[in-house]
Amino acid sequence: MAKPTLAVWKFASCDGCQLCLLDLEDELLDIAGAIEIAHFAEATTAHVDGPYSVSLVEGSVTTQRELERIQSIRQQSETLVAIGACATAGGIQALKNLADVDEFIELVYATPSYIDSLQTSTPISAHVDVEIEVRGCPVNKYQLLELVGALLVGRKPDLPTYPVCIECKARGVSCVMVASGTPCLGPVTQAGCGAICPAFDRGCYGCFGPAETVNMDSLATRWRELGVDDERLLRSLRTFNAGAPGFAEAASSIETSTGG
Amino acid sequence: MSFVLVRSALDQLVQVLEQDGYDVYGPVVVDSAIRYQLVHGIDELAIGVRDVQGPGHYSLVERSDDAMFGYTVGVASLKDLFFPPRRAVWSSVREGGTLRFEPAERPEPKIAVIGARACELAALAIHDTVLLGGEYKDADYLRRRTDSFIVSVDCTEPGEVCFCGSMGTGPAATTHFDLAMTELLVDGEWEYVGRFGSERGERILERVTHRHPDQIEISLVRSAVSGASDAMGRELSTVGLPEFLASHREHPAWADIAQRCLACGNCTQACPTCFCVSTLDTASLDGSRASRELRWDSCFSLDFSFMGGRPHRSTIDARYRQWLTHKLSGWVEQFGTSGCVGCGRCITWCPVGIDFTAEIPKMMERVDA
Ligand code: SF4
Ligand code: SF4
Ligand code: SF4
Ligand code: SF4
Repeated sequence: MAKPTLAVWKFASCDGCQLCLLDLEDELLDIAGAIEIAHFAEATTAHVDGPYSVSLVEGSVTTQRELERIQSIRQQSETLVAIGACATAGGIQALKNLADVDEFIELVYATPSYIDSLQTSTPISAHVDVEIEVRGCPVNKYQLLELVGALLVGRKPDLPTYPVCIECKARGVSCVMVASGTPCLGPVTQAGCGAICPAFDRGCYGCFGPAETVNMDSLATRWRELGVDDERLLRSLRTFNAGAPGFAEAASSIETSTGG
Repeated sequence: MSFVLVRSALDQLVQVLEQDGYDVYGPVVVDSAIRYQLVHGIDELAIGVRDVQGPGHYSLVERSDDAMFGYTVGVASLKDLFFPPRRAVWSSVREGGTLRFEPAERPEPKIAVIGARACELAALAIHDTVLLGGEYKDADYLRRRTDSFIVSVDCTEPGEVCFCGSMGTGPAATTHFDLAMTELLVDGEWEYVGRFGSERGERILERVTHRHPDQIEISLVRSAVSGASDAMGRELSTVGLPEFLASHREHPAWADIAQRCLACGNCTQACPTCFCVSTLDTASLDGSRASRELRWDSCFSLDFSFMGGRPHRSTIDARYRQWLTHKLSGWVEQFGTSGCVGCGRCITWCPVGIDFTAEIPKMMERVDA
């Protein structure tokens, strides 16, 4: 039986999620033993034409060319997995969805006419069907490993959608919001990182995007009690996952309520 | 049947337990909070600190004395030791066409705890009923419990969120300990006036320097404990409560609380009696090995109520109601006791400070009015 094939694709992104895959040093040989890596530009120039059993897509869609390329990748892939905040929510670059892109281009580039970019940065799921999303900025390499392992045997991958708080307690961290008054996005952010930030006495930055349940009104009230102003509240929601519905809606509602 | 230890004898106690193969856990300050940690001597314990707790708030302050057990309860309870957040159940190896199953490796050392509180022992008693009382026993929990040794220390200064008095679980330990003590300052010296809870406790204490208490010490213990009962930070009237909750599944309070509740599950994870777990299977990439793990779950997670293709407790109202109603009502029906021991952790460790001892009276008033 031929080995399943895996392709890793890059769209508008920083390559950090692909690097997480490469960072699985101890496990890479096992992965290469179980599947044929057909395309992975970050690792090798070798390329095998499709179709592919699994495509991992990093990055968001920000150009006309990407719009076309994602369709072709979808057609060649049995299972398509979006990895990272860019591919699942549009990434940091989705901040441009809230701004005047032409004005930015005028200001930043010496020759604006060289730039050919869409007005928005959008997740892969805005353009094609996506079977699975792996969150994070960057993704957690062990979640990638779990994903590949699960796909190989056809079981559901363990990608919990509950909030970071559950991992935080399991890790034995004393809640930084309760014990130090540090604002934390953990209660509205999806688990998967292993509660790294609270474990190092910092509040969660929300890089895994909105959890299954987001009650930002209540968390915002708590943050304000801790001395956070609305500008900082907005910035915290508009960082890695500004385009994710749960965070985007919460941010606009804060903006409306403060007349911002 | 009682004894007195001086402080240095507690070090002997730790040593004797270690000689007998125990891993000894005691309250230690870790990252500005008190937790049970592996210790080798009493100088590692949380000496001279007191915890200040309130809804959604916890901090440590220095005491004016160097009491060793001068705090109320730590962040995590005994649950973390006897029913840890993640544990392996079994693994399997593929051999030719068959699967060979192996039980998960058991941790060898036996668990001893110094400084357990009465409410925590009440929670342990509840876990014994829930996890060992039925036909199918939790083998891992049973093993940890069977070999355990518990030294309890009575609370003499209950905290702001404590209500063990209302739940009948404290402040003095009455059950599930091997040794129980009260920490007293007598003529400038710390003394630990104690009682035995098991033969195992008596045998261990034979190897630790001790003497018998005098009448004065015994009456000092009595007044310290009764003083504690009068100093509870909170109370909860439990008369008719299980029936009230069971008959008010529809009540405007659920939606009110849901406006504040984050459905973050911290209350269930911090609670010493919550026992819900989910089962997770993983396999190696080549499929040659697989293993099963149990992880703490929470009735606040959507997956928890996933049935027939969807979660049936999709709203926060429904999830908060499940937690409170199970804890204080359904539990009584199921196991014969309340699921709450009045430790206050769900109040303190709720990031938005939701306090059911305040919510329940409001709920009841709204019905009466
Ligand atoms: S530190 Fe953050 S993630 Fe951890 S329990 Fe507290 S609010 Fe949740
Ligand atoms: S319900 Fe709250 S107060 Fe009661 S035992 Fe659990 S954590 Fe403690
Ligand atoms: S309150 Fe929720 S998490 Fe706790 S034991 Fe009951 S159902 Fe389980
Ligand atoms: S009651 Fe508090 S701790 Fe419990 S789920 Fe709601 S917000 Fe989280």
